[in-house]
Amino acid sequence: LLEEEMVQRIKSGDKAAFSALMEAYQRKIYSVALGIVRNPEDAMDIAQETFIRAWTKIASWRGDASLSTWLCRIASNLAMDTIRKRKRVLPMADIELSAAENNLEAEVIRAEEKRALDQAIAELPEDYRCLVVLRHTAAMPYQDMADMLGLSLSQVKNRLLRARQMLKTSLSGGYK
Amino acid sequence: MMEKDCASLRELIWADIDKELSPEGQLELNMHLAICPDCREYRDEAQVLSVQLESCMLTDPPADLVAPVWAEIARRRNLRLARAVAITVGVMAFLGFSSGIILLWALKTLNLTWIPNLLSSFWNMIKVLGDSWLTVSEHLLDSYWLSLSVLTAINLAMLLRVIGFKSIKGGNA
Repeated sequence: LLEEEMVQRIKSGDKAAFSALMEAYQRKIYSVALGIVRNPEDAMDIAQETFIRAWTKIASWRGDASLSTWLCRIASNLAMDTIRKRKRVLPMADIELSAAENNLEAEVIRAEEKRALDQAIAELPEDYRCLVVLRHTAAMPYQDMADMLGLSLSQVKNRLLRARQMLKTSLSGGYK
Repeated sequence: MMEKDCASLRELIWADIDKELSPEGQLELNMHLAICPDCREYRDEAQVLSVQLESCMLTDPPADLVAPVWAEIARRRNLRLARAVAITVGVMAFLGFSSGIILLWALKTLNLTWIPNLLSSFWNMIKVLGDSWLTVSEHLLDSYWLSLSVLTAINLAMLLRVIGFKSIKGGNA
């Protein structure tokens, strides 16, 4: 109900409601974009473009999918377009890791884990990586991913399974 | 046989972690996990990986991500408006210019003298009809003229009544 109220306010031109929406979803949208394109500058452009399109196309949101799924779908489509144009994925080293502030040792371990995970994700095939990002960043349902990527439900399950197996294999040779 | 079952159940394990497993699948998975330590170990590792992925893949965006969005929305709106105005002005200018060209060409190329000739002929016909009627009426006897006028008036009245009746009937319908 809260989501529908927010959308109704945005549809009526309420900028404050849309600003609240951007604040609420910017982390998730940016993470989806970054997970797919692997480049912070592109991810920022994609996140901004996602919100611009959301503002101009909010009337087309019918409530079939959650607002989060709808936004993630826009972001992932833009990210996939960016990859198709660029035709290459940047290496992991280009992604900055957040600096440790309080518990330095724990943060360093976490940063190492993140680095290894990011490396493993970057090595996934493009379509597998997209599924993993959408699932683990946006918690997108299988059926929504299938609809968005033009796959069958069984293909989504199968590719996700393969992607995760590849991640496990990759990580088992790393920090684990 | 067991190996094949384990391989096929990996998908169910992940569906369970993703909260996408049907009740039937859940029952099948639980039954298998109860007797298979390998799959229990796989499930535990998968859960750890899932948590790691979810925690590591969410990245804080730059602080200035949202701020430029409104400016860009306004810039694009102004651009669309300017484009619409430019297209409208362009179309109107094109239509005006091409209409002028066609008119000039028509005036110079086509022989349009038939238009005043036609109007003149029409006016002459009216004048001839009027003169003829006056000539006829001058030669008619007064009584004949009177009876003709009465008959004409009666015909007109009948005509008007029929027309009026039809219009009233149509109006009510």
